[in-house]
Amino acid sequence: MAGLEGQWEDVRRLTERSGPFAHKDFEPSPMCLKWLQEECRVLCVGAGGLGCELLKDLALVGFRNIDVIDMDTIDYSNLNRQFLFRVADVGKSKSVAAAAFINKRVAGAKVVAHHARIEAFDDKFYQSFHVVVSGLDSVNARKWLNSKLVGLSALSPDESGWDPMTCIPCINGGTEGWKGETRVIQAHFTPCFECLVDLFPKEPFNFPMCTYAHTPRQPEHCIVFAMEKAWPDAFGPDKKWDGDNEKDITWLMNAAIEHANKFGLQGVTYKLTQGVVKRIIPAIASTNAVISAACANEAFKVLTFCHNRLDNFMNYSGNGGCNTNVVSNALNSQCLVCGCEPLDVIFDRDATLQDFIDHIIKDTGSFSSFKNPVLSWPEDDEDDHDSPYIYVPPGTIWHKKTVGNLEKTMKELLGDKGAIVLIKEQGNLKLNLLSIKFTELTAEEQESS
Amino acid sequence: MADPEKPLTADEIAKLEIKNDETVSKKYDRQIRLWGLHGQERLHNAHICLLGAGPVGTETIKNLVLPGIGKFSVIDGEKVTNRDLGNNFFVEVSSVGKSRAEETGRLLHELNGFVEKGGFIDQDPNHLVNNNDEFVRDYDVIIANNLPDATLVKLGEQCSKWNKKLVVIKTNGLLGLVRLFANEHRVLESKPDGEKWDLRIQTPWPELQAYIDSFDLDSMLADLQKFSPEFTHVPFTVLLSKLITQWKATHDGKCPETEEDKQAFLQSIISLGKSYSISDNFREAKNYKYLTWVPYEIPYETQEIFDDEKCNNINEKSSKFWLLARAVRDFYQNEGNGHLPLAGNLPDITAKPDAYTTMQRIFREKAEKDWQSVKSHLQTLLKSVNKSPDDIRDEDIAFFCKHTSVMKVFRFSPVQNEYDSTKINKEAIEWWDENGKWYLAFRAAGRFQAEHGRLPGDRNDDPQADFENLKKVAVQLQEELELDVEEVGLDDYLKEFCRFGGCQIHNTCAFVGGVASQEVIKLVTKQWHPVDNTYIYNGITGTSAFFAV
Repeated sequence: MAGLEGQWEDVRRLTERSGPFAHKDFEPSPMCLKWLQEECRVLCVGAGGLGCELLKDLALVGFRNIDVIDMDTIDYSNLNRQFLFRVADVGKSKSVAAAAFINKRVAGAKVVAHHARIEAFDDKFYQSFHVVVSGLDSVNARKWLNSKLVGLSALSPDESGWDPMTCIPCINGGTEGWKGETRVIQAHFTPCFECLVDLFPKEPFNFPMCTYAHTPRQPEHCIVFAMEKAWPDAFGPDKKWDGDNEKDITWLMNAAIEHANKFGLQGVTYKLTQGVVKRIIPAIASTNAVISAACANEAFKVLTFCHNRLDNFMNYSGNGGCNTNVVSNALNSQCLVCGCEPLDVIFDRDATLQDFIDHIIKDTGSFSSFKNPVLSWPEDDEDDHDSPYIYVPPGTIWHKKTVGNLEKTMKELLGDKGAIVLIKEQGNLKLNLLSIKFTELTAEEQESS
Repeated sequence: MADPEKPLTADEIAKLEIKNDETVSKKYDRQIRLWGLHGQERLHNAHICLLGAGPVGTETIKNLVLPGIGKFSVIDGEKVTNRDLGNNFFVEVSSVGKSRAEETGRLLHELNGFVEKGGFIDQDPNHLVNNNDEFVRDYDVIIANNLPDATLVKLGEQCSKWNKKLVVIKTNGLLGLVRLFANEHRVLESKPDGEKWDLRIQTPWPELQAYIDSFDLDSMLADLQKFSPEFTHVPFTVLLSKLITQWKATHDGKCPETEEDKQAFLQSIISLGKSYSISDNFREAKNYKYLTWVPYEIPYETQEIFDDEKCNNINEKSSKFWLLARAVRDFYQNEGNGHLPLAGNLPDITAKPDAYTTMQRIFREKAEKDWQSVKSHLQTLLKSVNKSPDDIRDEDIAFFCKHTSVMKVFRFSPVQNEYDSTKINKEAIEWWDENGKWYLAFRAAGRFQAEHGRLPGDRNDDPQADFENLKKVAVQLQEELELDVEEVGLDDYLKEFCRFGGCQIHNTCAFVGGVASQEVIKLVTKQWHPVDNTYIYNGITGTSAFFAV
């Protein structure tokens, strides 16, 4: 279906006409839509609540070459909002069903489905897209995708700055009940996902053990007790419950009720148990529609320049009245993923390397991503060192060679004034600079040293 | 996760396609967790009418069919063209040439087998509104999709007269607008984001006071040396109550007033806690210390309800809501002593489970006592209007009483008033803000349409050729609204509207369709607060505006 005459009349009013609110680099022309439809490739990550809406929105604003990735299959409870699926599709692949529906419904759409995890694809795959639109629901998946895209960015040939052609824009959407957010991310030009990861809402139902075990007051406490204590006590630490298995939920519910009865508490139901175990977030079509539309709108603007894009973070709230709030967040220069400045830390010169590593692992702030840190010397460090590594956790030959350093003091290893070293999490590629300084010496200490 | 190799059998599919308690509860699980089964029931009983099957309308209906409104109808006089294929999801290639009402209706209906088909009528909505003053009676909510001013005025009058809810939606390029109307919309379940708790720390009733007195802090502290955790689990409400009693005794019976007082009170919390003042319960006491000095006040929304004419004049026609409101007001002015009936619910508080459940019981019993008092006022009122004293169920009385501190009555200004410059609420228009200017641009475009039979810029040659005429009507409008044309500075906005030429961009339509459907759900379920009354979406910047014209 090369062209149904007049099909894109509305979009062409944006791409072939200019106006006072157009982007300063906008050039109205038939080439704009032609490029969008023939050359442009967009990746839609997720084919669920946001994904279904995104695919529709992208297809109906002129995108044709759309790839969609999703590893999930369709559940009956998806049908209240994931409108590309029907009862007969329950159990089938989301990406496959979604692509088929869009291709059948929207003339010209060429959606290609990938029933797989996002991690299954390499750099070359991601680099082949002009824009990525994300409707993911997990923080970890978002972090992975963010890391991947930022990692593709490269300096311009004359090294004067980042080459925007290598910084693929990623439009990120998220929803929860009546609320949602849309962000436009372009590595080194806007904050990346990791820059603002502290802003992300925390996981619910994280009660301390003393509460749920000894002083529960709410049915939710009892359910968490069932999950964290009763279940491992009954089945051992290695067997995990399956949130989609009715028998498992029933077992947890009964264990929660037993615990609740000990304290005279009420209110444990199957629904509540399911909600806590699966960390169910209420979801409705209207919020997904709003956020996806905002995301697809940004993808369109970013590539056509018909208007300025969102700068750069929009929050949406639909329960009390209706409102959006736009914030222009700044890049975090110490960001673990896109930042270029070293992380600062001040430590005790007489403490051991083991103490330092324990400090990093226990940290819940900037260093919270490091559970198995690898410390090494920067390449351009002129000092003579025995090895490029300061410390490597167990798992490679370097561990044996560096384990002896754990007992040494920080002063011994890094010199009197501290040093800049490299830190990375074992198994990850991303290196960060760490600037370790020591606490000021008191007059006494200065004299005696 | 189900196995993609094992699709459902025909039998299993058939079972899931039947609407019954089980399938409703499973299919709609994610939304029932938001609005409850009673909210879902209200949706099941609603009949929505869409006037105009362009994309913003079909997107709105999509978001209502999916969560299961009872029934919907579509009225549109156009035939599907190729242009619809480029912005409307609810037509397909084979729809071209056919009735747009029938095609969109068909493709919307197939989204959810639990929803009943209304009428898919091939008729120009303007023609319907102009020729049938009573058509709105068949529906509960009317959605008016990009209709001209004159039709909106008439429709507004019809909805006012027949007490129907009206949702006006407009989209043009990257700009969108939603405008709501209802004569009287009463909300008990406001469900505000920051929940307010009525803990009566300053005014404990006798049973609560006895409970507070039962905590012997001195003996607990002595025990703590033997590692008893009682002290660190005394509910913060008890801590604050004891401290405020002490404070009042040494401060002439007054609560902390000045900043110094408040600092001193904070210190008293820390002193009481001694080395345990960082434990959870003391932390909560510090966080909620303001409950000891902020005076009890009923929200202005509740006061508005008490002051309302319908609350004053109880008669045979009074609805359940107003009878209950009046009964609560009578309680408030008598036994309640300036307090609303106790709602009775508690936040989660650090406490021993038995201390917590005891506190829950004491609050529940007091709440029930208050509801009983409200009930006797209600029965007196019912008798006074010749109704049976059992006309209103206990559970409805309890439900009402639980929500008296969050209830609100909305009276939306009629849509027809907006198009009369002597009746519109001029002060509400935020002309200094860019999105207020977009509102004025929408209004100017509407006037242009009334004069020229099409929207500005909706032409194939130079769209800016309409600018001068658009500006003329815009100046006239601003003068009627008593706005300074120079100060407002609308030219660029009008030029951009000429660029758009009324184009329907799917993303704008999907966004506005999302907002409009969300508002319909709020109106039908009577939960949360709807937009009162106009919402503007700016897809260029991502910002919004809302005001009550």
